[in-house]
Amino acid sequence: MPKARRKAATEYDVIIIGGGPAGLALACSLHDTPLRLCVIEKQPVEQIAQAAPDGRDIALTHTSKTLLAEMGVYAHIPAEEISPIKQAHVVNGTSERALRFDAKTDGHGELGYLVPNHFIRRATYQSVKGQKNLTIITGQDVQAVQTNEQTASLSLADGRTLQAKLIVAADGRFSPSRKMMGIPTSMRDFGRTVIVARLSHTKPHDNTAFECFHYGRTLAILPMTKGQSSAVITLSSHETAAVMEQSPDDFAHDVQKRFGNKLGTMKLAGKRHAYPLVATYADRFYGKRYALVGDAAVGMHPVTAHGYNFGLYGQNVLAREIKKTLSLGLDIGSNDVLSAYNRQHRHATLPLFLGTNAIVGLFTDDRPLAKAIRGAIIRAGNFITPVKSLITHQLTATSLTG
Amino acid sequence: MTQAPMPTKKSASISSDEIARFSAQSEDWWLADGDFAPLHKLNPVRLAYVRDQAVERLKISKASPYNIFSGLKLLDVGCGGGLLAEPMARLGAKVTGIDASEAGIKAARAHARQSGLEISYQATSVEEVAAKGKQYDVVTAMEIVEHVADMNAFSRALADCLHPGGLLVASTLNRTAKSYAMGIVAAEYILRWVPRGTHQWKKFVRPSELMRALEQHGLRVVDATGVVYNPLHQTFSLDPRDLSVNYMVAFVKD
Repeated sequence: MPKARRKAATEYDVIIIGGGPAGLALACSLHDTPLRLCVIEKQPVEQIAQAAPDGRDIALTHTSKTLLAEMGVYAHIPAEEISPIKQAHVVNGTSERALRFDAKTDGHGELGYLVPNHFIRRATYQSVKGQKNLTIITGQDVQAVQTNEQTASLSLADGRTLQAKLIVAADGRFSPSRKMMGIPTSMRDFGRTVIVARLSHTKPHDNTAFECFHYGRTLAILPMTKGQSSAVITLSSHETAAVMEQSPDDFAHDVQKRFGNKLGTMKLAGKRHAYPLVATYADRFYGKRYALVGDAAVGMHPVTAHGYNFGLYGQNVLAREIKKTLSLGLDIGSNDVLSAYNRQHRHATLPLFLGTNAIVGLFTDDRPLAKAIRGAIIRAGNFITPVKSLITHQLTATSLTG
Repeated sequence: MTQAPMPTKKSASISSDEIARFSAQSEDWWLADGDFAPLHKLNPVRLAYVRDQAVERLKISKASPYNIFSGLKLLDVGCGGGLLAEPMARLGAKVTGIDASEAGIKAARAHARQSGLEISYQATSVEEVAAKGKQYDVVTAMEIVEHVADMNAFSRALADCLHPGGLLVASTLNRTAKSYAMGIVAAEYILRWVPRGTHQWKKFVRPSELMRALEQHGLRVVDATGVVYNPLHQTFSLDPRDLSVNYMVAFVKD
């Protein structure tokens, strides 16, 4: 019996694995090029077009807002879902002292903007839907990735083979394609889980974000629209099940108590979601004709809310390098392009990645010395202006490095 | 009966040991980390310079940056494996690449086919192209002047190949103590960047000599820049104040 003839590979210039926010943002950033783009997404199309609420809230920096506006994404986010942060307080334990960040001292009207993740995902999809140089393949898993000096190729679950000059992986912090390409990655499992939930409350939040380092748990209260707030609770993973199973009223009451009743009576206003905390950082952000973007490159601890922002900056740097190379008629998949991206994006992310992990370590440590040190940091922070302005700058990140 | 070797068609500007030297390496032209690695590293800087000079001097619209040379006729003299010709073709130019080395031209043709690009490659000299009365909007002569035997004949032919208003960009190595150290000792021996014997310092050309040679044939200097190497980042960049080693000069035919 004759073997079925293998169909020739479909050719693209850039194949992006993953239709999440980073992958789609890259496709969007390359819309004004003659490059033939393809995005491959495991989930069915409805799940990216109408992404369901997942409890995550993204704190957009000013830079991210500008990038999203340039890409045409920002206009697709419903205005009534964008909540400005005007102040941020960091509180140690039950102490009344707080490290305060104020939008006024920062020179901006806001420290940043909170937007629920699913609205960003939907808006990004809106922007690339119908993009002329883009093919989106949904409901397909990538089975194998191969690259060499001349070309990169991958095979899909349905047997199709696709070829490109460059494959970009935006397939998440546990990126399966990164594994296939043999790129080592540092992982730090904090042994903790984060529970997120939306709450309504009787007192106004005044657009102030709180980060409270309690003994054993940390609690962030983020000011959202409609007068509601999001609670972000970080706790030891073994406690998770009990908290998830609390009745809505018990849960809300517990948050209210731990928050010192600052926002009055609280009520649960949606589903609780739990996410285990693992931070990842790839040893390099590229291989031969292969690049990592988004969480596949840097999977941040969510405490500084930089994960999404870094993903957005990274794809912007990569898109810029690709366009620069394209405008010289050179090979967009070459090592020169990818190493330039790698250098710039590591430079932009590594200090904060390591810093965040160290802070998280310090602030979730219950030993007396750690408690004393963080108390000192918080007290010093209010007096030492340069320290604060550095932290504020990191929070708002108005300039892109590199 | 012994047969005398067939004399190949020769022009005054072409030196035969130079051809043999480059033909021997033609297979390696396109290996980004092979013998011609420095040319690959140099390439983005040269391409950007040629592009930007062309845009400025020929008043090209920047509306479609990825097809900016659409309709432009370009002659690359000393095209080697096509390192400059291919990108220019990708940007829309109708490119003719010429090189004295037959083997080099074969390698260039094979690579262009692989890249799916239409480039006219010919093993010929610029004098022969000029003799046929062919003229181009842009002529490039990169790292070739220092290999030329008759500078005057070569310069006349370059000028003849340009349309009035056309642009010539020539790059070469300056004959200074620094270029001796950098270009030959460092590049050929220490860094093993280019095969030994690629450059002969005595044949290097001072900017004044290059400019005078071409001005005699009716071209006008419109820009000159040095190309400097940063060993820390291993990259090249333009420096208009330092022409002491590698440099490029742009000319316009009035």
